[in-house]
Amino acid sequence: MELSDFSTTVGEWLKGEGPDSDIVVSSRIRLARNLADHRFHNRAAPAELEAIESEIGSFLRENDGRFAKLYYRMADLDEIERHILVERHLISREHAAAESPRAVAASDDERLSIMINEEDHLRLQVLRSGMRLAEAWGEIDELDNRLSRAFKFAFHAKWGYLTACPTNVGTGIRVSVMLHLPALVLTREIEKVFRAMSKINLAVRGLYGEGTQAYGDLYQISNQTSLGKQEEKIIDNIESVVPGVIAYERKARKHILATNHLQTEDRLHRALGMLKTARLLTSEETMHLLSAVRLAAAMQVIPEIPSSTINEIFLLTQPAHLQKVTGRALAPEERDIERASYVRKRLSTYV
Amino acid sequence: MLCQKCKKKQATVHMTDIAGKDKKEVHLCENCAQNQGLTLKGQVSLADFLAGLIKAPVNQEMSRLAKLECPECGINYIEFQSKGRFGCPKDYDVFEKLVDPLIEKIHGANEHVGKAPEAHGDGAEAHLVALKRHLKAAIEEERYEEAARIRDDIKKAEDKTSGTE
Ligand SMILES: [Zn+2]
Ligand SMILES: [Zn+2]
Repeated sequence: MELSDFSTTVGEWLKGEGPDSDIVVSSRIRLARNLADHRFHNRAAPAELEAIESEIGSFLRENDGRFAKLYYRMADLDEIERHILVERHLISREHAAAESPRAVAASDDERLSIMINEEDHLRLQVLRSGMRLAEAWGEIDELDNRLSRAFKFAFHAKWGYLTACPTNVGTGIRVSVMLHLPALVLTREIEKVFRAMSKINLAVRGLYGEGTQAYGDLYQISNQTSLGKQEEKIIDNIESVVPGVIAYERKARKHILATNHLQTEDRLHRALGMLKTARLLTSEETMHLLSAVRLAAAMQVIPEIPSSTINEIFLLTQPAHLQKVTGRALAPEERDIERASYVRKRLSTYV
Repeated sequence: MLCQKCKKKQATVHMTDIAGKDKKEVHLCENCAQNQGLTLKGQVSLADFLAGLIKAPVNQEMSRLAKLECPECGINYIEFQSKGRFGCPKDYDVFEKLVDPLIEKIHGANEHVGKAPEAHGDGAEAHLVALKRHLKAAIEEERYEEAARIRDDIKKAEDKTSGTE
């Protein structure tokens, strides 16, 4: 697949499918792994990093059909292309920014991806739409086992998988779910979720924007510690709290619709109206309005817009994708024009 | 780790009290920290949290250890402190005495109980980890006779690995 295909497609995680996908946008599990006989990324010479990249890269492309097509060295990509990978959640911002030898491999549907030479030599990721942590664990466990037969991982009898940063040591696992919580934001109940999660040692953060002011009302719940519990226990812990948050959000949705029916409908229809008619749209405003439309679709206020369409617009209007769609580099003001024009086109068929 | 004051809630505020003659580590829950006037503004970033934990070693032996250089990557503990990142896997052993309490503070535990690599390693280490995992499961499922047997196996395996060092 060419990078240009990324201007028309979205990864599996944005298909809007899977259990509880009206609220759970995606489930993600990441494993940090390092090679035993090499220095960590920040201390390794460029030649050593290059050797690691080519060794792991050729293994993946030659021995695992899933990674035969999507394999990119950062050095071969320009600024916009790297940020397309960031917006697709295939690589981190840090991975896109650094100049040292690094790469990313991904499966065609972007469910599986592997960053090579990020902070750790290997960062494996499984990303799925909906609430599917158990399935995601099965997939990443299998991938990890496969790689552990081919490469000797840095592993300590007492402390488990060794990582460059001691906050990831042990299992090297980070489990997270991305939730759309507009009604809890609207009713100002979201703070309670923050407090409840921090009591049981889970982190909540807004995915775009800062702290509690998340653009698009998207929040991520993830584990904070990676050592001392089995992977399955860490996953169970998150799986056991998410249904409570989902129920809370659903209750808040019912409440606003029951107590302020007309105002709520008005607000949601206005959001769609803005998206359909605006001539200038910043990325922040787009996320904000799309959040309302996503809520409207989920609450059957505007039932005809599928969540996959909303997700697609969400992804393809982010700065790097927008420039890929348009086919040229755009200054920020130009982006707002192009974004509005793209959104108008995509939503023109919905009343 | 439990809050030192109320001994009921999880400690989430960690700091070093240097007001007295000796440095003293303080671990409090958010409530007790607030009652002591140690209010936190918003969420503490991971970097700040880490910087708070990786502080200058307390006694002389620790300061000597902190100046040791890893023969593999050349890093010493002071450099690690400033970056928050190790230079190679060996650092965990080189700075073991300093790393152990750090891991305990970050994770509230200091023994890995999850999966181990399938084939690589010298086998003995992975075996030990697998045994510990079985032990935990046996205890949780109240299979105590089996747990006792596994405990004996772990003891044997540990004697064997420490004997080769
Ligand atoms: Zn307390
Ligand atoms: Zn080292």
